[in-house]
Amino acid sequence: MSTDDPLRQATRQLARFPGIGERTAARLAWWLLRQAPEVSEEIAAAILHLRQGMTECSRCANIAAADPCPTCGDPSRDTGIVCVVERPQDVAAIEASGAFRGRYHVLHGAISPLDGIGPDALRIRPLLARVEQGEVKELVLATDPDVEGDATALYLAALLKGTGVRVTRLAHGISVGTEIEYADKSSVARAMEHRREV
Amino acid sequence: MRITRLAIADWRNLSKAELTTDARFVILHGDNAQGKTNLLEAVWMLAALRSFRESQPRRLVKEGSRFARVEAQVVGPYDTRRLELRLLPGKRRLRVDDVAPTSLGSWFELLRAILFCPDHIRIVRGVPQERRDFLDRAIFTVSPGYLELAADYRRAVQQKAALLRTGQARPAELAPWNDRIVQLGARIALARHAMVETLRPHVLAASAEMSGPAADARTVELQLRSLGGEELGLSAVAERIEAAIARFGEEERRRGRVLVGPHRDDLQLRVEGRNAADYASQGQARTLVLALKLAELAVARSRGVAPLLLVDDLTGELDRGRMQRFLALLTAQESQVWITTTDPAFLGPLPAGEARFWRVREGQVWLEKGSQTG
Repeated sequence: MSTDDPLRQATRQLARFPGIGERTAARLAWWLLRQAPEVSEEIAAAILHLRQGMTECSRCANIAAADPCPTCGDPSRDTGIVCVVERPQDVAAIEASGAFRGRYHVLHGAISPLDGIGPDALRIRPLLARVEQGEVKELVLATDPDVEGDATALYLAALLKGTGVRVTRLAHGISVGTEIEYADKSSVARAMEHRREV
Repeated sequence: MRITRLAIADWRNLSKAELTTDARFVILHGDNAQGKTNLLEAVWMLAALRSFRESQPRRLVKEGSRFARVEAQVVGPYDTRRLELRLLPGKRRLRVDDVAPTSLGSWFELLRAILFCPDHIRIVRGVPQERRDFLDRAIFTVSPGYLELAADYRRAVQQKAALLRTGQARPAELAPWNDRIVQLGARIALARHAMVETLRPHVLAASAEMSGPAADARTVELQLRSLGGEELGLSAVAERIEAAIARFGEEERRRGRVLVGPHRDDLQLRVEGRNAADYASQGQARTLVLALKLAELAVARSRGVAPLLLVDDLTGELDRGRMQRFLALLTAQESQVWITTTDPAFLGPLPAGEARFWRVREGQVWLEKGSQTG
């Protein structure tokens, strides 16, 4: 058991956050002490409520306050097209673009034998179940453009062969607003690899 | 490409060093263990982001210091940039004109270098990995984007190896890794083949020039042993690798190792028809290494890249005649050359007004008065 005073205890707990070091944690703890008592209570309540209040959507596996999540529950969205991503944060990023009006499926990772993550550790079976229900016409594989993301996309594509579902991969390459002259070479190579017909 | 200012802090035994120079030849001289090679290593670190003799970055930081810093003003073909590298506990920090670079690729494009050091004898004598690394670096020097391709390929091989080691790899799970190995591997095999073909005439020419008029003509050959030949296109090489993976699939599972792919390539070097690794004399091996590096430089130059040349003490490697012929070959290039040596006289005459001699002693660096030869 620790004999630390509450200030030290709070500092130690705050330092567990990613990107927060010992000194920042101490500053935050002192700041909390100086605020009105409600501030600490509101923050503590929000943190406590975070885990209780958020849940995994039983359809798309996204993390949301409701099950089904707002996207799955939105009747105006196209149920025929599903965008497959690695993380819930990716859903937020694609939503922010406003370019996609279909549904999502969150895998919660990518296949990586080095980390002991095989296909069974991902939400692949629920995805297959959704496909089997017959409503899905197209899957957009939006896993990360790295080796693991590519391999995961390939694994899914092979799995879905013969189901009649159209499988596409999100394009990657030169960012918008970048002239080719100034794009870094790997982006150009990547864009060339993923070129499409016009 | 030229470094006109170099500032180092808390790097190895160098607490603080600053060199300002517009010279084409920067000669770092002093006795052994004074810090010459540490200085050259710092320049190499900026260009390669790794040391040529230390795999643990924290050991590059001066004892008792929290971080090391290397900063260089680099005059490139189009503009002048200030590159800064900091080695902090557990991480490194890069800045280009005080701004973090957008990608590693963009960093590498700003400063390229070719290193000559005694350890490179391993390219001839060592395991195939050493020769693949040489080829990969030669490709990288002309196209930095290759770095990412090579890293992705290595990652795919590691992932497949991890899967094989579980002893329960299902074909459907292996397939995506095999696909990555085939697709990325075919591009690597092709790039390597093209590089060997491009290097060959330069290696032969440099080898003949290094050997000098007195030496008997030595026949040098280099050939890439790989699944894909250069005469084949990308899809044909991919098919070959795919077929080989199918053929060795059972053995790969049994041994739990990735047996097929360009990570098994070898650049075969021959001198007078015999395998150089085993049969070349020490002199032949040294000449061949320098010929390979000079060829790397020639190829880079033919693609419009003028890398910095870093030469770590070759005094013990070459006799006087070869050393001076080697320097004459470097002089014929426009690149800036950084050389460490215990004995500047050994270098022979350098182009008038183009050399500066910096003295390195006990971690201190200073410009020698009247440091020009002509």
